[in-house]
Amino acid sequence: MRSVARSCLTPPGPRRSARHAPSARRWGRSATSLAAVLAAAPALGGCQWALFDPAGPIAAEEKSLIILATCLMLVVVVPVIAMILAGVVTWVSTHKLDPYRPIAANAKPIEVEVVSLDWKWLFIYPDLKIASVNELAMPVGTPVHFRLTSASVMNSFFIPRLGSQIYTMPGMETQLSLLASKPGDYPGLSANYSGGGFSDMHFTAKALNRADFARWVETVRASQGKLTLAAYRGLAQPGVTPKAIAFGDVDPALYHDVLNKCADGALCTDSATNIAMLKTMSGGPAPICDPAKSKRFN
Amino acid sequence: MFGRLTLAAIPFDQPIIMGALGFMVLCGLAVVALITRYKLWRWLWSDWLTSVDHKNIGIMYVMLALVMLLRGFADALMMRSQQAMASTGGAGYLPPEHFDQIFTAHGVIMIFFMAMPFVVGLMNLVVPLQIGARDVAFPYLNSLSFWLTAAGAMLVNISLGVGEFARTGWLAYPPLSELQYSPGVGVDYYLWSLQISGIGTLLAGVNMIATILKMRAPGMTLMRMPIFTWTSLCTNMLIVAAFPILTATLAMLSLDRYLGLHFFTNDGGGNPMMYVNLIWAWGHPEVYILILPCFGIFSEVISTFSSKRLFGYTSMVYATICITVLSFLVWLHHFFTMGSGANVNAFFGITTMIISIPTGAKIFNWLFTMYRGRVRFTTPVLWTLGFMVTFTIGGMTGVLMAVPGADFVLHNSLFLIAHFHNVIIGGVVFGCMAGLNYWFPKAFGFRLDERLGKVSFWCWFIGFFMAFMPLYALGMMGMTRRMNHVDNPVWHAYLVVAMVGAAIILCGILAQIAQIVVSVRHREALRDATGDPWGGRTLEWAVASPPPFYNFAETPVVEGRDSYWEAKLEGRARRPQPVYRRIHMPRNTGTGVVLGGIALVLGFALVWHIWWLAAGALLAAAATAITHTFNENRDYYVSSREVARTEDAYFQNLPSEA
Repeated sequence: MRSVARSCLTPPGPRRSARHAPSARRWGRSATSLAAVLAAAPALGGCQWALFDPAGPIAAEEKSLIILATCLMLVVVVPVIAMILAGVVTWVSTHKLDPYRPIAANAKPIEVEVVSLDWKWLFIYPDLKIASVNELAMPVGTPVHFRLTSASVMNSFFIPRLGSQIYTMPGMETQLSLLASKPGDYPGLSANYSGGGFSDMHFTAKALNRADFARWVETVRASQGKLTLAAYRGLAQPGVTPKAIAFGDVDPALYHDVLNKCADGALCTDSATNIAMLKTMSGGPAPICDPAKSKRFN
Repeated sequence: MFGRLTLAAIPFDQPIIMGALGFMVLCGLAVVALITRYKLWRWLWSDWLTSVDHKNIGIMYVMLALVMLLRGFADALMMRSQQAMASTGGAGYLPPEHFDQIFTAHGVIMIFFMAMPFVVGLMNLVVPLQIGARDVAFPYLNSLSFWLTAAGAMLVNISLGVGEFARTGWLAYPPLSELQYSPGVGVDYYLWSLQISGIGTLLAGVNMIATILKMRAPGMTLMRMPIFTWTSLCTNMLIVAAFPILTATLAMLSLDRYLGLHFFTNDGGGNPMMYVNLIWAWGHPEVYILILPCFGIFSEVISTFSSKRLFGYTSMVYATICITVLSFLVWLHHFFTMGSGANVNAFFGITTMIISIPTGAKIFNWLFTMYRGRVRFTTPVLWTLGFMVTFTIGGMTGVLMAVPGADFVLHNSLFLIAHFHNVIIGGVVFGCMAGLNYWFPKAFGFRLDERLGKVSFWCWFIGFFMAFMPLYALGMMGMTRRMNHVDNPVWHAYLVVAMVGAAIILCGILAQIAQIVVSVRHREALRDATGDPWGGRTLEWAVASPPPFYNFAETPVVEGRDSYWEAKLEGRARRPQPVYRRIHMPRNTGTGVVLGGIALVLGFALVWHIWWLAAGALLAAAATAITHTFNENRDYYVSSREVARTEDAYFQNLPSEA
């Protein structure tokens, strides 16, 4: 019986001469050729894989054990390495693409407050004191910071061409930052089923040049409609609004009232009275979260 | 007197519903007429409805699943045709209030009343045989579990003709499912049908765990259990851990709707996000409850038809256990877009990807099992190979969606729909079909027709890809799920292709029905007298087909994995015993079917606020259950003479071994 050690583990390779201290490059070269010879030796040299040519049941079983263990190691180790890589990608990309993360840009972000209604979208520009229904305009190259809530059921605010959707939920506020780099009309929609008129809950996101955006703001401001609480209650009635509506003026407290569920005249959830009442009822600190100061579960 | 129920609840003005209803009533009447014509009522009652035999209950589960598959698939065809018709600006033929019920019913029926009964039925049929037991641990409980599931399924179907079904989507997210936005009876039908069948499923889970842990044949250690039994054990552990969450969550929603509480409402401190978390804390394990037994089926099929022992048995067991544990750690990936922070989202994204490692290991194990085996390409093997291709694609799109950044644009899109149909059809449906073809001869004593089985497979396989590959593309184009109508000519083309795909799947279903009918007609030609038509490896093949009601005349002694295969090699298999002993067996009882019927009445009364009827049903249920506890006549002995007679008949018909 031939020895495995003699035939496989001492291949005839280039020997390092003790007289010349080899340079790093030569080291590398000899390591490479050693590896090549090691790899080729079994195939070229007629190496006898004694362990893979069993002649008895014990050796046969041990041979299949070697194969099985190698296969299992490969099917576990390789995916684990792949998963580590995928995990790193996931971790980094999730932080980079976090919808709440402000977008770095030269321009100052525009604030937009979004309310999903049954079944239409209300956009309030708090700094410009205007509002529109089913039409959202934004200047190209300027980040838009959305604060979103819902007046009734859950929806998902989504402009596919601009990426990242986020849920809108009653009594709660989510946030989203988007940026359009090319002008155009992008379709927007609700991506979370919300009842009968869901399929018609579209809006148009207009990404406009700076001048066009200013013109759009002027047009909206010139419109007669004023979004008072009363007008809002009419708007909040379930139904589909096929055309965009512009409001030249808007009640500054409206978004706050929708978020705190007092737009219909009820007690605001963040009012001192309500919080005190909940405190007495629960006998402890108020279980309600103040959306303005709320921290995300992070 | 009748609560909210009036004659106006029956939608006489809806031709589609009345047509479907008329068809169902006609089918029901035809069945009743046939039973009466052939005087089968007594047989039906004593051999099936009151049976506590795990095999009969398993068969009834699978029959329920097949019937509900037809109902759920009819919904699917309506959705596909509606979207194909209403994608160029038209309104189609289904208004939103009807369409929204259809997609809700489709999801509920396919998951709760098709997939669940199918896997539970196969487990019921096979597991006691595989572990060498005579029945499950609690035979009466088993019957009750089935009849509660059947009652839930009946309640869903009643909603078709009386009142309406939920228009909320299959998980009924509040606040949409709260009284304020869904004042009708639809959500109530949803709640009570799921509660009733959910309790049945939970009891079945308890029963199966007790059976597997306590009733294995001597010598069958845990690591000698057949792999299907292992996956069944893990699945039932998941059922017992996850279903109470569902029951509690739905109970809280019911309290909101019935007693004006505020768990998930918009006002009064309610929080819908809590519901979304809870329902997915059940919902994600639920998909593994469905897929794990199917992994077991594929393992059995591949090893049997390759005539090789399963490659990497131990790794298969640990992979199953890993999946069982991990399935509870990923639920948040269903709502990355609900606003949790990047750390949370990334954590759940990564745990989701990790599940693909044990799953991938399983796929490799199946491939290595086939490697250098003599694979016989029978119908169950075709389903298994189709599964490996389809499920791998679905798994990869799943890993893609597990990256939160990608999910922000793919969430709730048709890409998601394509993904989960990819894994549920490719995994669960293909698995159940493989199991049906594989174990049918065990249950009935004759094989299923191979040719029609293959036709069915190819129709399903091709139809699946035609129906769902366009949906991946549509998702990439930004089309969301649950759209009643859109106006987009580009999408229209894809939707038409998807509809054609659904029609091809319909051919597959028809071929499946034809396969069963043709096989029953040609049963003598397809007869298997040996009880081991495929060259099986596990104990269920050691007995006659169909097995005698006591399964094993003598409890087998197990000395290794694939114990029946070893016994055949050593010439110990299929040998008559010198003497037979009497066998202790449970007696049939009608309590299960009666309680199921009462649960149905209770559910119906609660849906329609018929309080006197609900109270009466509750009292009747309590009285029936208590009366049953006084029933001392629950068991009997099969005489050794009867056992000998049954066994002799089997051995006499046994073909001589060539």
